[in-house]
Amino acid sequence: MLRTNRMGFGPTWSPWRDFARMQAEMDRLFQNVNDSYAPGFPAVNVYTKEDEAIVSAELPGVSADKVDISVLDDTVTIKGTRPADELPEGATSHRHERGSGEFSRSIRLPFRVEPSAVDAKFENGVLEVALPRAEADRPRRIAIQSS
Amino acid sequence: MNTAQQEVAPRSETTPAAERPRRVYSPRVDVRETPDAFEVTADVPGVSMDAIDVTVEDNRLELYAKRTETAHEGFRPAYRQYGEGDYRRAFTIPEDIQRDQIRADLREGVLHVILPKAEPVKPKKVQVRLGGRA
Repeated sequence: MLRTNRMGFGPTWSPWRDFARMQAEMDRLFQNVNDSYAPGFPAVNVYTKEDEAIVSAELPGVSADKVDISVLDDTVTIKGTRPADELPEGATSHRHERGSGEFSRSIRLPFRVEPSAVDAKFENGVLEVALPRAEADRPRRIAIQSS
Repeated sequence: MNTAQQEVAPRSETTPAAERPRRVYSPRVDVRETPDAFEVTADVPGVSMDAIDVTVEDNRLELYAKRTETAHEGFRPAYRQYGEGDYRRAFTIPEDIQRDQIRADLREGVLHVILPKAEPVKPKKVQVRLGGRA
């Protein structure tokens, strides 16, 4: 449901369209893996500039010690558990829209990441992971020698 | 999946924030009833305690939470699955709620509202004498 209308960024051409398509494919691939939770949880936003990316994820009700972030080459994986609120004795549920369980989400970035420089903060249920580009992966300016 | 996410559409990054209409999302909620209270739990990621507004008017409970947009200076949005807007959700509540006793707290982006029930009116016991013909 998320992947249908999220492919492009408007009528103008965007180099990120391929990136979004790749992401949609990634979601589809992982859908069968983490079927313990609705596919596409948590919802993520990705912001980029040339040498850094920020991945933010909405994780309300998840404590920092229940989240695991790992980086491999150009892929960051956010894994964790959202605990279920047990219904106490004598209580009845009138509405139950909030999900619980294990989740895992992998996001592929347009460059390789420097794992030692990754920084994460978690505030008000929103996780923000800053992922600098690996030094070896950065474009290098080549000086042209004039004779 | 989430109604809020389905409303997300690309928006122009060149428009200043003040000129853009604020988006309002309907948060996901759980509603429970215990013998003493009703409890409403809502997912409102990105909201701080001072931005929460819980109001009761007549039989209507309204939750409103204002989200502060996160600025990412120098970054371009590459992939967007959720929008940053406000949250609003309203409920009709029963008569027997102690309105002055409603409590709310916020933890890790989850708003929890407890609406205590009024003391139940004790049923009056009426003694009926049986075989009262002496």
